[in-house]
Parts: sequence; C-alpha cells; structure tokens
Amino acid sequence: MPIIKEKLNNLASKETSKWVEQARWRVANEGWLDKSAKIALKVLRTIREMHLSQKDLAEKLDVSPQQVNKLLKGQENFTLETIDKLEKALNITLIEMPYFQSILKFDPEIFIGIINYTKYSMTSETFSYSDLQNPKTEQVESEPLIYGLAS
Amino acid sequence: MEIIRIFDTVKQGLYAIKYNNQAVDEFTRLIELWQDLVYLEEFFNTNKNNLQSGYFGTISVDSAIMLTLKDSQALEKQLLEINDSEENESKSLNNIFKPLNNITYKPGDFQKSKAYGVLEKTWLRLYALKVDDNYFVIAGGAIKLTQKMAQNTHTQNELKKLDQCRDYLREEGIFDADGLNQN
Repeated sequence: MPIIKEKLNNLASKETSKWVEQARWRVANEGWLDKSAKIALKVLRTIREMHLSQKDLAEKLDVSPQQVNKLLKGQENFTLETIDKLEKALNITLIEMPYFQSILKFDPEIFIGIINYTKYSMTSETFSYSDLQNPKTEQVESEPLIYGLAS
Repeated sequence: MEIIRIFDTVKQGLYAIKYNNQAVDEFTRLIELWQDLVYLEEFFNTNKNNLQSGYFGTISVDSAIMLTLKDSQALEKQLLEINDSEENESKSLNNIFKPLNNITYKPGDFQKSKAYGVLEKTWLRLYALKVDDNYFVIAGGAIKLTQKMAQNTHTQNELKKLDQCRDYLREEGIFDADGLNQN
C-alpha cells in the first residue's frame, strides 16, 4: 500500500461510520419517507402561515416540542392517529383517498350511502344528479375519506 | 479533529473530518441536514434572496426543499453504488469529485475537490481533499446558491475548513511531498 494511503488508514477511525447502513435503510424505506416529507412540509408551511411556533403546535397536540421537531424533520413514520391530530389542530387536510373522492363524484348510490353514513341531512328524495357536480357535503369535505397526499 | 472512515475498499476510500465541536463527521452531518425539513425550511427562508435571485430560475422555498431532499438522496445512492461496485472502473470516487479550481498545487498540498449533487441544476456541494487516486477526505459541504464561494459567508467558511483539513493532515504526517496526486 502506498505510504499516504497507509498513513491515512492508520490515522482514520478503526470503525467505519454507520453511513452505509443508514443509507441502505433510507433507500429501502424511500416510499414512506417521501410521504413523510410531504406531510412535514405541509405542516411546516401551515404553521409558518399561521405564525405558530413548534412550541405552539406542541401545545395544541399535547406533546413535547422535541416530539414536534422530530415529526417535522420529515423522517417520521406518522401514525394515522398523529395525522388526524395534526389535521384537527391546524384545520388542514394531510391525506386523501382518491378512490373515495372519485366515487363521491361519480357513483350516486355510494354517494348517497356515504352522505347517509356521515349523517348528512340529504335524503334520496332530495338528491339530484346535479348535486354530484357540486356536492353540499360539508362534513365529507372537512373529514374526507381520502387516501393519498394532499397537495 | 478526527478522520472518520465512511467506506473504503481495495481501490478507493472515502473519509470525513469530524470537528471537535460536532457530534458526527462532516459527511454524516451534511446528509442529515440535507434531509431535515426543519433545517431546510429555515435555510431557504433565510437565504430566499439568493435562492430567488434568478441564478436558479424562479423557484419557491417549498420546491427548493423537495429538490434538495431528492438531490441528496440521489447523491447518497450514487455513493452507495460506488461502495458496492469495487471492480467497476466507471463508478469511482474520481468520477464524482472534481477539482475545485484550476490552480496548480505545490508539492505538499492536496488537491481541493468538490462533488456535486445529481440534479442538473444542483446546489449541493461536498468539499474534499484528494489524498490519493480515488481517496478523498471530506472537509465540509454546502448548499451553494451563489456563483462564487466567496460571495456567501457559509460557503466562504467551507474554504477555510479545507485549509484546516490540509493543515491537520500535514500535522499528522500525511502529505503529498512529491505533489503526485494533483490530477
């Protein structure tokens, strides 16, 4: 081994950094990490617009500021419960389910079913096809049964 | 100051400086920062003027954050591939790290080098000293939003870190006395 490489080898830490292991983990978990980053970005943008600090958000969620900071870094495997708490605390939508969104628009029977399920006062007698184009489903809109990230 | 081994194989080695005031080595620290949305949001809001000065076109803070995240992930993958492909000459650290400038180095100096992110218009930089063919020691790195390193305090500081790293290697008896590794 040439002298420089040998000296470098002797000077460097005997143990290799954990980067290779960590990078492999990030590659293997790329899918959900990407979703986590998008959720965190939307929350960061929202709290900035609302002039809230991370501490304020922590209080709203009843967790520590350290936990909020961890969530917002964009590498947290969010539970549905946490997402729901964030949505309610900030009055935003973080995830949507395109399947349910599309049937709300295109399938009158399921549309009515969901509306009845959500106890909306509309009945089949008062329902008309034109309602599908512009549904008056306040409850459905505020708590969408939608999977997928909101933009 | 310490030198942390990131990976090394028979033909190449990537190392990084760990400064005394830091918990981890520079490479690990930078990769973590470039994937930390809280840091990126703060950074791009603070440097909004440079970001939106026109050098990178019209770009929002949110887009800048997501681009940085994707770019750093791609850079990581590229380095992982090098680590995994020992025999593949086309994938080597020499291909990733380019000379930082066109100056001729004196014997005893190491070539200052930089590695770019992977995106076409990337602002990610890793700064390193080339200690031998395919052997690099990372001294720092930056999100470079200005054309010249001297135009911004945080990139200016990276130049100083390269000199500190060179001085440390010299003190430890590692130097290229014959100036053989300048290419």
